[in-house]
Amino acid sequence: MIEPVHIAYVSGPLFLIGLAVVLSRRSAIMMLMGIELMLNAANLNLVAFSNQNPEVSGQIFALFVMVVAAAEVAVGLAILLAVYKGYKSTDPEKLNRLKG
Amino acid sequence: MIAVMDLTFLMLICTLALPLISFLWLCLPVTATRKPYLHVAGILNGLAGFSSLVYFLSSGSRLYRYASWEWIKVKAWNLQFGLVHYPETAFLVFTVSLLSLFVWIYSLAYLGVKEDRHRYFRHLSLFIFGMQWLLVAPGLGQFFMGWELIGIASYLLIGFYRETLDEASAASSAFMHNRVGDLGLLTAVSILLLAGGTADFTALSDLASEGMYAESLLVIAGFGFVIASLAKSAQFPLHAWLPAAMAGPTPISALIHAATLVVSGIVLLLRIKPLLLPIHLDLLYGIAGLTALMAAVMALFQTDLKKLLAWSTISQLGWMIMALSKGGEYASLQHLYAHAYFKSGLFLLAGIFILFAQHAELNEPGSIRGLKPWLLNHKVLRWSGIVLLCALSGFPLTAAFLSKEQILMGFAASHQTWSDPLYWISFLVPLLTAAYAARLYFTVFHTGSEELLLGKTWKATASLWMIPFLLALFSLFPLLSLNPFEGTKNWGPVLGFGFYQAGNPIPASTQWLLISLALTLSGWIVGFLLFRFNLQLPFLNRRYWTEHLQAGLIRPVFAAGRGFSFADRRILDAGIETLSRSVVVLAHVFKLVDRHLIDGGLRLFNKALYHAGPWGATTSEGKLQGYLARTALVLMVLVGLVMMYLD
Repeated sequence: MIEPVHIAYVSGPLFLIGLAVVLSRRSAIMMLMGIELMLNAANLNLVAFSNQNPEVSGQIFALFVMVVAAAEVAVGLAILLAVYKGYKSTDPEKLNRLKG
Repeated sequence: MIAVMDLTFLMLICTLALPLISFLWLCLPVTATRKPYLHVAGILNGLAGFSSLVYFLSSGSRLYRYASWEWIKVKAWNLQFGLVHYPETAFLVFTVSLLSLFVWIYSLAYLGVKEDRHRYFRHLSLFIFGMQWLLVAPGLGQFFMGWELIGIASYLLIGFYRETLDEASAASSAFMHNRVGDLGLLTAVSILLLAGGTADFTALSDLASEGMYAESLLVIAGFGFVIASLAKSAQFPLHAWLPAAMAGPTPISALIHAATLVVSGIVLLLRIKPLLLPIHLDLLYGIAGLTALMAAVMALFQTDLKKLLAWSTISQLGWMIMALSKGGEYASLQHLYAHAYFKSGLFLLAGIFILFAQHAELNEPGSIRGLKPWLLNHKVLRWSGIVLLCALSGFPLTAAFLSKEQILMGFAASHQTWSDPLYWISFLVPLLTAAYAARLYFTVFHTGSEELLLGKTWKATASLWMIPFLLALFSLFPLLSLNPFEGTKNWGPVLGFGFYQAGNPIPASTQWLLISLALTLSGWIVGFLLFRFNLQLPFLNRRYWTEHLQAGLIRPVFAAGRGFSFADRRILDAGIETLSRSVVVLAHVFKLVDRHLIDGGLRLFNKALYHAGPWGATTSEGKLQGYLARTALVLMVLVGLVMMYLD
């Protein structure tokens, strides 16, 4: 029998990997992918813990997260394309024109 | 709350709205098709002129409030917008529209194809709207708005040739003089608003007649109104801007500085007359009398054509204010209308001469005197000039003859004695007016005519010479009366509309007809003698003063300055030097203390900050992932804290 905590053993490392990708990669596309990983880790948790509950609102929420993630990637990639046209790079280190 | 929509109301709205639309239209960025762009605005103003005519002809003879909207309402006082038909100034609404239409047509030819002329017409539209807005104002709030609008439009138009310093400084001078008046008006409006809670003209006069205002308040407010009208109508001591404003384009001088803007001071006095106390009326009478006399003398000896006309305007306005302050509203308004037409005609005529002579000096070679006989012999121009100058001096058959007679009879009926010098002035002014008109006539049209016709044809377009001609026609007697010798037989009863109902017209009498004629004729004799013997009073010219001040005052002052400077160096400086040396020594002592004790501590603190700065700055160097990492860290700490708290 798989307990929700077993799922958390998977989703926890998955979230940390996503965070690490977002914080360390030198390409904004990779950062978007890291965000996807983190969202999916959260999804796993939602599905797993919602299983304990007779209501299915948690699982429906996971569906919403997927839709939002898809939309976010679509918009994010379009923004990245525009950024690339302007900067000729997507390295987040170089996108610092607004620095304080 | 809008009253019944009838033809008069509709036409009044059009009269106001069309210049505003024309202004907004000309605010659009200019496109390559510049001609239709301007002509749309011109057509709008033409329609405004037509609607003002229909408005005037269809309007009634009683004050009628067509519309009013609440504007600002704070506690006990409120200000209102609105459109009001004032029978006594309805003709002025028409006059403003008609004259501005004339000036519009004239300016198209006068300015020629100038790169930025749309700017000129834009400001002109703004001016027309402001003036009409002022004339239909139900109360002092809207009146003040119109007052400011025409002030700023006048400033912009005087400074139209803004490339040269003269025009720019003339514009600023006019603006600053008007600001003094605005201050007076604003003070008066605020006082009345705070004391009575309303700025409506009829409500104000009702409250004043019921004795609602304390007398001290009325005294102060009245002085505010007096100052405002003195500044706007260019009366002493705020008169200097009007001759200076002649630096602007001549059509503007004709419309704004002869016919419309300057009479708004008189309109103000007319509206708030019930509020004025005898002390204010006496003050106005005295100041206006002195101004009228001084300006007439200045005009008599001016050598600059436009400045002569400007001084003449000041003098005529002074004379009108004199009549107004002695109860002659009817006469004063009649003269105001007659003056608007003949004076703008004279200015536009002068504009043609200036356009061809390049500058306006009357007595210098290469200028108007003796230049281009073909121009001066042009029949239409010559006859327009003669008619307009006759109107200025008040010959029979002109409109000004009727109004002048009314004013003189008004003075005679106001029970004054000959021991009062101001009473003399009120009769001296028309004589001097006729004298400078005569001098102007002989100087312009009777010199240089013996020179040969140069064989040139006159290239000016019809729109240039037609306008003064039309204005000459307008300054004949039908403007004011059907009977050339009876000023009270006006058009009102014949056509059935209200026509200058203010005040009490006085029926003409043979005695006063003869006195008026005698004043005019003796004025012409004086003017002819001045011309014949070429009498000049150079000390009335600014250049004379500049030169003589240089020799008589400025040089001695400089010499004295040099003497003082010598004494200063030799005697005073020695003592001061000893003193300053001891001060320097003392200062050195202080400096040592300062540097080591106080500065040392400050430097230490400074250094610490200096090193702490860059270290702190690394946190905000614009690295996205750095921000994210710190955000994640803070979140983790927060979540950890929450968990600890929950456990």
